[in-house]
Amino acid sequence: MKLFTFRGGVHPLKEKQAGKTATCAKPVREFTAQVVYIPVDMHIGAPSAPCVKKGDTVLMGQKIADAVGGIGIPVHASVSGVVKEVGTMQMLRSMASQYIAIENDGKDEWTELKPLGSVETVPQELIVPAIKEAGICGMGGACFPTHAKLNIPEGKFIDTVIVNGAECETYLTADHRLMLEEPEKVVKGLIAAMRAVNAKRGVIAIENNKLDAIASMQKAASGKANIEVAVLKTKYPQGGEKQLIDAVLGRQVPSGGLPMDANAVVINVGTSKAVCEAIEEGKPLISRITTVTGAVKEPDNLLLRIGTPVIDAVNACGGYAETPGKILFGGTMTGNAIPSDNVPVTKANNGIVVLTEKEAIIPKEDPCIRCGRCVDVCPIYLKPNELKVKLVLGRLEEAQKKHLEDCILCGACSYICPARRLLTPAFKEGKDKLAMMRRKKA
Amino acid sequence: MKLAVSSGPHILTRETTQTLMLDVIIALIPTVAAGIYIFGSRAALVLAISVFSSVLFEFIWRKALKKSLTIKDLSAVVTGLLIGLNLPSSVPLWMPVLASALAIILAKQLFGGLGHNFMNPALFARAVLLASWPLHMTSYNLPQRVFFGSSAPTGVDTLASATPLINSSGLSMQDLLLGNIPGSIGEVCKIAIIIGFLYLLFTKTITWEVPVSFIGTVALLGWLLGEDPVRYLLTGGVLFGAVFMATDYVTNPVQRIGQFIFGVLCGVIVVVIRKYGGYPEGVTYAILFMNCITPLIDRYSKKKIYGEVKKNVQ
Repeated sequence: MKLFTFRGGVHPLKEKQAGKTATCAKPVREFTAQVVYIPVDMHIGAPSAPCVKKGDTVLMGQKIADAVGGIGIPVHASVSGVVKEVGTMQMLRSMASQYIAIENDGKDEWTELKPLGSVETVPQELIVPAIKEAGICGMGGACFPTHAKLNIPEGKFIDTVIVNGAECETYLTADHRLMLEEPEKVVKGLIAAMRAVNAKRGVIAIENNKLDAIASMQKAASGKANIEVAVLKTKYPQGGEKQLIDAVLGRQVPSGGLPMDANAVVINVGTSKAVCEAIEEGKPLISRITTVTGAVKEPDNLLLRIGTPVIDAVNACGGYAETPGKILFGGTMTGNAIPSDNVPVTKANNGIVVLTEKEAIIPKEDPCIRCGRCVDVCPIYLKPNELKVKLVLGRLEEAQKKHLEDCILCGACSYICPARRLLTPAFKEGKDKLAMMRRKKA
Repeated sequence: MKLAVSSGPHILTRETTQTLMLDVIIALIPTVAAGIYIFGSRAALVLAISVFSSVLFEFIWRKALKKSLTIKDLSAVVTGLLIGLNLPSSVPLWMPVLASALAIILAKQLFGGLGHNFMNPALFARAVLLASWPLHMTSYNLPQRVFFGSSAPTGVDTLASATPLINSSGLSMQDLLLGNIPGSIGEVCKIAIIIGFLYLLFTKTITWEVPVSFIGTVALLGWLLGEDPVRYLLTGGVLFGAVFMATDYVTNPVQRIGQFIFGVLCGVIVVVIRKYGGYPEGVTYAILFMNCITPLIDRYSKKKIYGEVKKNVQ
């Protein structure tokens, strides 16, 4: 079997496999919270504008916030019930996020849904608007609105749509379970995306540590002449968009460009399933599979309504196993630490990983011993040791010349560094500063 | 409940500076054991003094300058071991102490400590001693004991007339491999060095580029210049230098391609010194010289980053 991969990367294998074994065999279980707190700024782009107020009765799937701006998407009620409040809370962003809290009436009463029919026959021009109306954004963690991704400008063309089932992150098995339990929907979503961008070829890419998922997707894709399953080598960050395109297609996304510049579009398996449901069932994105694991008593894969507070999800898994020191949205390589366990689950949240107090300790930075490990593992082939020196000295422009902005913040260099240098955090800060400077200039 | 908020990654490899140094120490165990077996208790004494004084100088310096104590990272232990292994067992006992002071204070701490020195501290110390007390540094004891009943000459505290590098014709290949020859404590037993090398490679403590290109170049050039390449490698300090001295992370290039160039140039300089220079051996100066041009190699060994391609290639 041909294994697709990229150059560089790390094998947090021991931790990765050990972290995944807790949940990879756990079928997805539905859990519904009493009150959901739905943020309006889950996606990249302008926050949506709430269109309901306190006391309103809403149905499941009803739009509660309108899309703002070109790439904005609407937000929908994930339960039926009464709007409890429209408030703000400190979540993942530097500024507090606005949310709409809905008291669940337990009836799960759907609003009127408008299915568009089979993904094979739906008129092509209806696909992208339907995806936008369903409020779908990248569910692998990036949260980039999917309709914007599938909106290919004049002069560009896409030949391949890749569904990302690599799930190269540690601990997470949400995508793995989805591919086992609803492979047909993933394939259908891929067909819709391919039709939307006129792509001839569809590839479902999966790491070879998920043989059952590979078999499941192969079965679901059998008989579809232009869709294939690509088996990837298990390595981090195999599921990074750029690494995936390089591995599967042997093309590189140009520096500063988008996947479409390499004639490819990459969507996550969860996103693909959401696209299928949006078209064939008319359902907006109101729930997602999230792996709840780490220091919880019974790690599990939960189908959670968007807006479920973390603490409710943790309690649905038997509660904390020990005092948490850090809670992550996502895996341990690129996950975001949340400030409190009241923070709600978002559309992009593929995992809640609870780290113990001991695991949360950040070791002291030692001097760089120039071992070259960071250079070896960087999947963008940068020299992280050099970049870090530039940034410590405050020479942002020099770091920029050394391609700081090409860094994908995968964390491989920080992971591998024996001197515990805070490389990725420094690059994130540097990239943010450069982005800010750019915005000021514009 | 107080939750830590930090930027990823939230998981780190188990390898630390300390474990890497520990791996180097483990890799040196066969060499240390063989050196002590061959040259007797005097060798053990030299090694003990150099390790102890290296750690002591590191401690005193950091303490005196009110800097964080760094003896736990074990780098001073490695430096001490390397200093001892680079000395003949017959040196006066003040020499390892002086060498440690030179290495730790002059070559390492004055430049900012671990990671900031531009020359391999142990080799720097050896070079100073070699230039200042050449007689002490190049008069080697004959082995006290030899491996496997070899007929190689032995003697307790008997000085050998010349290093095998000048005249190795009387020694069998087996003697050269096992270290039944006069020389510095660590450089004689090639088998022990090879075991250490394999350990370092197997644990991925070092990359193959520097030692392989270094050793390969010496063998190839030696052969081209009419030497028996195997004999050329087994006499002198090439193996020890290539495996344990040139692979020092701090003073060799960070990129694989740079490391390869570094190794090749080390090999070239060694052969040039051996063949045309005034010294019988040139490993020390070759590596030190290359240490100095490491920043240049790093600067000019550029690499193409991901995405340096044309947009929308069709």
